[in-house]
Amino acid sequence: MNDVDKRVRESLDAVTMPDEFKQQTLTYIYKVSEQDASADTGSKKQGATHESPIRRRPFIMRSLVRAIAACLVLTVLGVTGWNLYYTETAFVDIELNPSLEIGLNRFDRVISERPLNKDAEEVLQSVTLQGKSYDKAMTDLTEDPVFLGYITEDASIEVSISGENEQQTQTLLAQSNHHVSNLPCSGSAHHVSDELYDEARNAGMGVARYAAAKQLMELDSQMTLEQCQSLSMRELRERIYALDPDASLAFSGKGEEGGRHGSGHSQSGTKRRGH
Amino acid sequence: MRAHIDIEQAIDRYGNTVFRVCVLYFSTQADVQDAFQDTFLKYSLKEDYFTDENHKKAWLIRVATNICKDMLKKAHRKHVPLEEKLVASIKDESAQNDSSHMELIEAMKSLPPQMRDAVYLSVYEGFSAQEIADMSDVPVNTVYSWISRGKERLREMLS
Repeated sequence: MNDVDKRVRESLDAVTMPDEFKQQTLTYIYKVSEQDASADTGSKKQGATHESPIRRRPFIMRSLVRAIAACLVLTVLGVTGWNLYYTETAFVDIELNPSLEIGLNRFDRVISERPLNKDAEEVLQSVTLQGKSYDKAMTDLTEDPVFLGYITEDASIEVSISGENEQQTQTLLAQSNHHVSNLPCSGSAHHVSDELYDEARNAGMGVARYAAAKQLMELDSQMTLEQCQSLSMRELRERIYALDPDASLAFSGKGEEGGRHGSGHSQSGTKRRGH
Repeated sequence: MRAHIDIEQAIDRYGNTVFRVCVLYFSTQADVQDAFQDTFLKYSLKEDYFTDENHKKAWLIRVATNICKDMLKKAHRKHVPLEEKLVASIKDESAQNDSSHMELIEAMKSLPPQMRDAVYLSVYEGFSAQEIADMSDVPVNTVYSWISRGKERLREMLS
């Protein structure tokens, strides 16, 4: 190394950001995002579309499905009913390795479906969930051959439910538990907070994966979100438990207990293996 | 917007890198801070994900550099010595080294921006000439020229 190189390195090594820069920058960023959020006239929870990093299903297919469903519904409900019908009041994330999101209206009907990764795109091309009751949609999904192709003995499925109405989310939780218990793999269903749900969406991830990624990054500061996204749920769990054998996955972001309703499935005869 | 923990990690990991880029352009802490904050604001709003950490680092450096250049164009800022607040950010165990560091930094700040960036990215951040050419969208031979002429000028100023 010559003298100039050496001096450049030594001098720039001495240049470090002031301690207060980090917090001031975070405050600035959050303030800007709050201003943008309050200026936004529609949120995804009012039915507006949300752009995922993953390609959506072809527009023509989606609009045709919506158009047919809309015609059938409009004749019965009228315009006001249309608004009620097409307003999402709950979201369900289903994460196996395909990771997908289902949006439900107040009648527990699936009004939106969105793949969160490429595997889920293939699943949603094989089975249609839109327009069905949640119970029927889950039956069709869990019997679909493409979806079942991802069910291996060591697979783990996580169902995360976020919603405004307590009664609806409890119904969805019970139905989810029922379907998960019938699958030949381990898994559980959880009610998650809106805050965690929104964070996961902003990260472009399913809720359970995001919660696990967040937990792993807290245990291992070398891990980044991008690295976590490339890991399966099972790999995320294994790394978490390797760092903290007593860890339990939190899904609500409310602390270590694991959410308001806890692990809906695991408290009643879980099929988890190896933990 | 990217996840909060993602943004925090990016600042922890690359804050010093972005800070150095900004210090090499500006002389007041306020300007450095503005450029620093805008860089990470752009990061927080970036929807696409990075292929790896090198990609992320290169992206942050390029964004910080572009922000600094844009700010300079708008304000027609000229080269002035670093203000005291920024000098306090340049720490070393001895005062003698402090003045030596300051001399080097002032010398780098006086280089033409592209030459300065090429020297910084090559000597300090370890990017190859081809990588710098890709980041700057110029031929690789131009980058080689910037690096060698930049180091030559620094040698003359510091001797």
